[in-house]
Amino acid sequence: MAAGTHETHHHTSTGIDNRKLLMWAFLASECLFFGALIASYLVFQDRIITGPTPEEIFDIPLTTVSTFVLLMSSLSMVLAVYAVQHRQIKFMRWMLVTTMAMGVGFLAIQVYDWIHLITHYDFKPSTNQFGATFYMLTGFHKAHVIVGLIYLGSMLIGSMRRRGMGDDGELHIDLGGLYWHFVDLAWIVIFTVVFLIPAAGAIG
Amino acid sequence: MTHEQPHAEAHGGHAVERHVPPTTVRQYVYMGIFLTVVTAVEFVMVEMAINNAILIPALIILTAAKFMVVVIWFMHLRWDSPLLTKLFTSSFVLASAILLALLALFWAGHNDSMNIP
Repeated sequence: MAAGTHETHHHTSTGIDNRKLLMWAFLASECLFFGALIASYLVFQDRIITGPTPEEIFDIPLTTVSTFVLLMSSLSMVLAVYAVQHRQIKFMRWMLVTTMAMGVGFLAIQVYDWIHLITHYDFKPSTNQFGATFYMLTGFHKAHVIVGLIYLGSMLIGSMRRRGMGDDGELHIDLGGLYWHFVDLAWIVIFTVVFLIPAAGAIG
Repeated sequence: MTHEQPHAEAHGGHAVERHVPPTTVRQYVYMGIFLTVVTAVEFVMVEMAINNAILIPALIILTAAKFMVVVIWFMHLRWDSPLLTKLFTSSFVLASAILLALLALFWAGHNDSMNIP
């Protein structure tokens, strides 16, 4: 398929497929959701009466590795979208599997980090306000990754059916890609604001 | 496209456009390398404990660069309808404004409470 613009037979008032517009509206609302969580973390992370501080407990090398894994999952996801747009279904399936594997890898590192924080530093959500907001923010992000894995898994299974993904298979993969990239975007901001800047002792 | 116009007008809307971005696999891989390098630079800067006056603006700029690459090229906003860009940008600006307003509000209160003898 040559690069360019193609038209389908249905019409909308905006010229954008309603499902795609809905996904972008959802992602726009997610910006506000994560914005509120990050704001509450920044407000409370330096109001520590008891327990450890961010610069004492964060494992920056490990978090950097998990960030790298998630960024690379975004690369494999965009390659899956590229593959479906160019009718390379086998390549698309491999890229979806790669994306999911890296998503699971990211989750595994994050869960290990949580366990390490709880067992070595006795740092729990109930420890202080920093703990409560930290676990809430990173926990909601993990929940988004899990939803993304289920979403991508359903598309992978759908692509393996005898009828394939139907006429709108390309759109479905594109929408799944948008969601996955947003999860990556949220982590790009969280990595800097939650981990790097406090670890440098710049806040608080 | 012009032969679609009467049909579109008869339905009271616009024909839905599907875009296939002209980006190649090689270009996507270069963007992936860029994201990796920027993340590595961020890590090294924090580990080297550079002066915060330089570190914080540098981290924000590098984070913004990664954010833009993902939004513009990976999410294909560059080739999609401008309406989607406006929708996402407006919500991002609103979220950032709320975040800054909350920080200003609570940090001001925090500093005031610190001054109470």
